[in-house]
Amino acid sequence: MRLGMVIDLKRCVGCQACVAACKVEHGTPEGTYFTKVLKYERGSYPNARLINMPRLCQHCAEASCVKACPTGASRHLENGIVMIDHSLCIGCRYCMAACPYNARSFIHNTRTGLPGGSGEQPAPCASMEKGTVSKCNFCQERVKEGRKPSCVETCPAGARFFGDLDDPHSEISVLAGRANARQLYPEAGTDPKVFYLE
Amino acid sequence: MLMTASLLVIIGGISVYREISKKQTFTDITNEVPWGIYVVAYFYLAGIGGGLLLLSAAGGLLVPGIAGVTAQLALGFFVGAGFSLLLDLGRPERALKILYMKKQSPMFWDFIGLTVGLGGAALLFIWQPRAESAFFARMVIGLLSCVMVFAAEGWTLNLCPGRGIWNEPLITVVFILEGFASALALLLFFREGPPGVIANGLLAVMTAVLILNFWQFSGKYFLPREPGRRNRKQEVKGVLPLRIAACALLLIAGGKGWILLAAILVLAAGFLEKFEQVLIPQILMAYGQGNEYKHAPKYKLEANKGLIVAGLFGIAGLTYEMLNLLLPLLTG
Repeated sequence: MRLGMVIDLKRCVGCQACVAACKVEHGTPEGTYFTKVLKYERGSYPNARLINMPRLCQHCAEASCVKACPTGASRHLENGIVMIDHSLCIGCRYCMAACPYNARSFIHNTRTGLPGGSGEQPAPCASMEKGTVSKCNFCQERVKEGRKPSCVETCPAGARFFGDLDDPHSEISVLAGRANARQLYPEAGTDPKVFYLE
Repeated sequence: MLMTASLLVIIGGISVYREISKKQTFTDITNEVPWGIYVVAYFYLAGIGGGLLLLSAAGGLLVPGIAGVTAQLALGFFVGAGFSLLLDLGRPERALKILYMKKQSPMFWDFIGLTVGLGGAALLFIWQPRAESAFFARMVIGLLSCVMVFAAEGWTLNLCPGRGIWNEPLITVVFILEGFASALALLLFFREGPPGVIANGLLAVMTAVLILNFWQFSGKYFLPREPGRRNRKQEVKGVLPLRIAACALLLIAGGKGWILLAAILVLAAGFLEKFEQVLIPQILMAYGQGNEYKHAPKYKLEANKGLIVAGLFGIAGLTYEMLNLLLPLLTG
């Protein structure tokens, strides 16, 4: 099994619903986002185009972060997801320096900004440790239950697709095999498992 | 020096306490710029330590009497470098997990390089036989330890597929020569009498560093551009004027005061070089990712972190002074 994601850039409207869903699902600290939608212009007048580019961990098959990690905290699961074991992370940030996609975040406070803490304090983040690095894990807990990642379920435009890239009959395999499917920065040699349809 | 070093350590200690109490540690770190001023300080301190090792091993043949003081200084700088790495860790209490021996990680080799450097410097400091035959053995120890330190540094800077701008093997050679030049510059402050051969040696090494810096600066104009990547431009704009001024002073000026001024410029340029070649490449990003952000990523240097780095220099100086006290005990 090799889990991956396909994002159709033509469908993405840049509504940031995936960003909010991810934030609530993981309770990430203030200023930390496991998925972002970058908006930038491509081309110039009169052929300029606004691009909505959803970004998240690419769960690379040749993940440079996994190689750079000195303690084995970053590793591949059997289903291909790149995970961080927070109890092993020493916070050296070599993985962040090695990641071409800027997908990793250093947790320097655990205050989430979401309600639910003691008194008037916001809830602390339960799943992350201060002083460690964190990132998107394709909603591993949901995937275990047979559900899709929260960003995929939430996307109102249906721009995100999730599934097994090793299954040739799956929707995601067909989409990833299309001529207009591309990986981000393939020249980095990381073989990402997130594909973008242009 | 004991007083100055102690003062710096106290200032650094207070600054660390302030950061921890206000929960402001690592506020300078972002997704785009994961390594900050502590890593710059590590490269600088370990670089000078490596240069001093080289000087202790080989320089002893040229200038008698420097083997001891250079090894002693190297120990101080390696201890300072070790503290800078510890400060940079999000969870320093787990530092020993590095010993999991994950050999493909450059961090593991940074740790090994630093340990070998520290061990080599300690050996050269304690073992100073008068017999000429021992010079060869000392040279081998110094050279091997020095190579380990710089090889680990070089690998770290060549680590990143995402930061292709760092994939310039020349940087290791520049850092070795720069470390050696900084070690020579530092030695000028620790030796009585005319600078003589040390100043001449500094001029020779600085000329080599300058040539390499010019190559790094101009290489962008004619190096082949790799597909999808930025040009291999190296940021050495700030370093070049300082280094040219230092070389000019060494070449023209005769008095010891001017030579010491040149030495200060060499040391300042060394720190600036680490800043420009370790920190700025992270911000530039290899695949033009910066074009996707509304605001270009920036590194915000905080004053308090500058004081902590000053404390790291204090630790190096304090270690040197402590070894002065220990020396009579070690040598009987």
